[in-house]
Amino acid sequence: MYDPVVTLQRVSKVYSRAGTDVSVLRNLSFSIPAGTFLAIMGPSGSGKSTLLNLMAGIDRPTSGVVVVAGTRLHELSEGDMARWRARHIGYVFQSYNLIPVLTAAENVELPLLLTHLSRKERTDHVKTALRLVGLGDRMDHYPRQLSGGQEQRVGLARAIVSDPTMILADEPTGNLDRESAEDILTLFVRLNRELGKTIVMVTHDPRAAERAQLIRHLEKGVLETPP
Amino acid sequence: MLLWGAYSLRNLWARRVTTAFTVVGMGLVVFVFLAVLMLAHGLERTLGKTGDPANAILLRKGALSEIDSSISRDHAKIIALQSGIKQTLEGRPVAVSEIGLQLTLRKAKERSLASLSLRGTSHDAFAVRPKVRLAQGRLWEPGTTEIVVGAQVAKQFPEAGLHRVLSFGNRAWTVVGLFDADGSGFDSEVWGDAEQFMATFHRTAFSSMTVRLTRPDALVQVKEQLERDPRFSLSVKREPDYYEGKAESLAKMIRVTGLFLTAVFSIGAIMGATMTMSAAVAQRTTEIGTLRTLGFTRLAILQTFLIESMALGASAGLLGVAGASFLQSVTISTVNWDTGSEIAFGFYLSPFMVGLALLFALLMSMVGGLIPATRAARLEIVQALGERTV
Amino acid sequence: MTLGRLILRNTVRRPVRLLLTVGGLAMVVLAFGLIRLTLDQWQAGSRAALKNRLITVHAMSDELRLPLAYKDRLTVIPGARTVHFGAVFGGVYQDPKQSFGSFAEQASTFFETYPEVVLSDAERLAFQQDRRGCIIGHRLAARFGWKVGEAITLKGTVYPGDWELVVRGIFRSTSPNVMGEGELYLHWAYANERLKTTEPDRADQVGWFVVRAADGINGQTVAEAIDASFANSSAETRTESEQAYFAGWVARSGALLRGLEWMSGIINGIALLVLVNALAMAVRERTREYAVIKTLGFQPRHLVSLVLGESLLLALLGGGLGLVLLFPAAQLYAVMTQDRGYVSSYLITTETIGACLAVMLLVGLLAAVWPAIRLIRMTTLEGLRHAG
Repeated sequence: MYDPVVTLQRVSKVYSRAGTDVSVLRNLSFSIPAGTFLAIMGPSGSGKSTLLNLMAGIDRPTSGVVVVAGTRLHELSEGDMARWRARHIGYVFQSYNLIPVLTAAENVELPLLLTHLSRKERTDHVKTALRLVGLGDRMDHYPRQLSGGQEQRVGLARAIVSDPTMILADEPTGNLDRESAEDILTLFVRLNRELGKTIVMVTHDPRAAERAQLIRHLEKGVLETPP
Repeated sequence: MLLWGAYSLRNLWARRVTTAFTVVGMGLVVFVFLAVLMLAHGLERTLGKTGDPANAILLRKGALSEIDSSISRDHAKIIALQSGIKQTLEGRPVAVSEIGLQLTLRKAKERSLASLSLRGTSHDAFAVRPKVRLAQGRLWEPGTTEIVVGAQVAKQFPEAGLHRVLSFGNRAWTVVGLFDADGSGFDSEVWGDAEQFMATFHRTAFSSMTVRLTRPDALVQVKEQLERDPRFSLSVKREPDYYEGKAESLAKMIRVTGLFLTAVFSIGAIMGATMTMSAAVAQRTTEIGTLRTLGFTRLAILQTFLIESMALGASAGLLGVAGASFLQSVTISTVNWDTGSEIAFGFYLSPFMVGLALLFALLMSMVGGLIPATRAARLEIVQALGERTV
Repeated sequence: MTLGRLILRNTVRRPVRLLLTVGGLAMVVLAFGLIRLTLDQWQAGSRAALKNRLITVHAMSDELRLPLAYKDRLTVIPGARTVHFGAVFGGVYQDPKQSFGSFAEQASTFFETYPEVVLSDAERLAFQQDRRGCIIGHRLAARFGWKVGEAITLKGTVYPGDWELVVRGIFRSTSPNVMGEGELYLHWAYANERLKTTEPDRADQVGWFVVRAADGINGQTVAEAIDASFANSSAETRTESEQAYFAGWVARSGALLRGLEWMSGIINGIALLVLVNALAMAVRERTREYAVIKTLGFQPRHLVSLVLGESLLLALLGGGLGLVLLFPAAQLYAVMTQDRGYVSSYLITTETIGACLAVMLLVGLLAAVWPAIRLIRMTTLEGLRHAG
């Protein structure tokens, strides 16, 4: 068990777009204790997705140190980063990003192909994950046969099936109607409370953020201290 | 319409990698298509130039080539005096009695065997065939083992170059001159004194006679007289007709094999073009919906994609033609299966063939673009706008 | 599930494109196969020829003949087991354009010299006993509808006059590349007898001798002994193993063979372009999916294997279809080039099939390189932002 799961020290991120430098994150330092369900809020362009991507190891900071699950991410090579991600991160996308040619079960099974689990074990894990999100009866459906809410639940199952250290979600309810969004958020809360998962969710929807234990606002690249 | 063309071209540029693959692929097909045509045409041109329509060649009846033919010395003398055969101002017939032979030669460089065509003749050969002229050196001295060689022989067989000595039949033969036969099949021959060749090859008779006619249409008369004469048992042909028939297998092989293969993989290229255009349509579905909403007709959409496709074809055609034009300097020397002897010919490109190749490229691209373009034109607006990709 | 299944599903994802890609590749393989076939046929003769069968011809020229009298001197050369001889007959049936090979051979040694000929003992005997008899390959028989016992009239070109022959046997060959099945063989003695009256100068001459070296004797030694024994005579000889003799003729068409080889190279270039194009399109469309897979923790090598797998699968599908089409196409091709074609039959050998598959495998590997490099270079973020 890593505690805190995430530690950022003086993290800055500068993008250069069309010749001019845009500073997205400025000298950010904070940590996230294990078992936290954190919501990061902010208007678009505030850098909240960038922050999430830095924690997921799919983006690198311009300066500063990111330590996630006890690993200093900037020290990893591309390949080690991928291995690390497979072990520690479950990622939920705004637009689900399921592979259209694979069934729900196969989509969920995908991360398990990187583990040493046997076929039988993999099937068991997939079933458990899909039952957990309430889609035990939709295993063999293709993404196009599912509703948006169902697709996102498959996405969630895919994120938790390998039992990662932390779940990162980028606007998970952004494309969903209210009711489906509530279902997803309820699942996040259950994962957090019952299984003790550390969850970081980026959202601009206050109603979604309310379901988290902790809300932080990101404004112009600076994290506001909680009230 | 200008704007419309620009729209198509810019789209091709936007997908330039895929465009390049398709153009190069189709360009290669055009290249091979053209190369085959050029080669077959080059061969026919070489043979077609061999001989003069004002000449007739006489062979033994039933003989398909000079190898099987024979005409005795006595007969040759009588035949030359036939009416219809041209005479010089001094009253000598413009006719030549020749012996066609083959010499097996081992090429010095490749160590492979080749057959050279030998023509035992006399200086009259140049009077009968005015297009053949001495280019370097001098003619052979009658009664000696001096020889002259055609331009292609000198090129393909360095060992038979000017001043070199060939040895066969236990005798040494000195190359004293080079002749230029204007790109005809004679360029692949070695000429020398008929009597010397006959002695060396143990022959007692000539194999053919070539005569210059008073007028090209005198052929009918000469043919009539000689073929009917029971003394000779001859067949008379117009000289170019005879030589043209001598590489039929080779020409047919090049044409059939080449065009059969071209046909087969042009289908492949059409499929490639279809694939490229299908992807273009799929990628731009929303765009098509937008254009239709703006008031562009189905026909206009069809046109756009066809123009795009044919622009691909036109580029491929130009690429293929450009590549093929480099082949013009290449000469192929190979055995002619009908005679067993070596013949050299080049790739010949004519404006007509360029046109044909471009047409072929356009046709391929049009056929390839038709299905995707039709599909694009058939799209319903709502459906097109609703889907990001098909 | 395995990655293999994902590859499979990706491959069949766009059926139209799959069809076009596989179809395009199949056409290319088909063309390639036909070229290989042509080249193989040309070279097959020299490979399949018997090593201990030696051919003696006139050294100075292919068209010159050797005196029949050489036979006695050949017989006493050490190591020579049997001495056979023959000549081109050059018979024409009705239309000179419908030509076929016809040869005058010494009947008594013919079957012993050419064990490839498959013919019943009765027919062999019938041929050997009838001076006007001839035997024909079954393909020639089929072409003109000739039957055993039928009398046929040929016009002679090398041996002048009209020749009435009786078909005494229709044979097959165990090795059609060496002993063709589209030719006619008659008695040399019969042809020569007539020539004695029409053109006595050319009588008693043969086109070639075929000497079979005794078992365990080096053919090369015998060949050298033969040529040495006729050195400095009025007609020197050139003796080679049948294999070398055929190879020599193939080499004379070297320029055309090289042309065909070039063409097969270009064809593979086309295949490569078709496949690279298809893959590039697929990869571009799925950029986002690949990025997701990368986010899940998959390594670049996993992505490469996805692309490579798809590439190889497409190449092999195309190759397979092309090979299936090759069989009927080879038939058609054979018909089109038959009459005066130099290639006697279009047998699809395992080598042809192997060459086609090997080439497609190579094309499949190469085609994946560029799209794979693009995938490796793509960062996860770019990929996720890709509009697809």
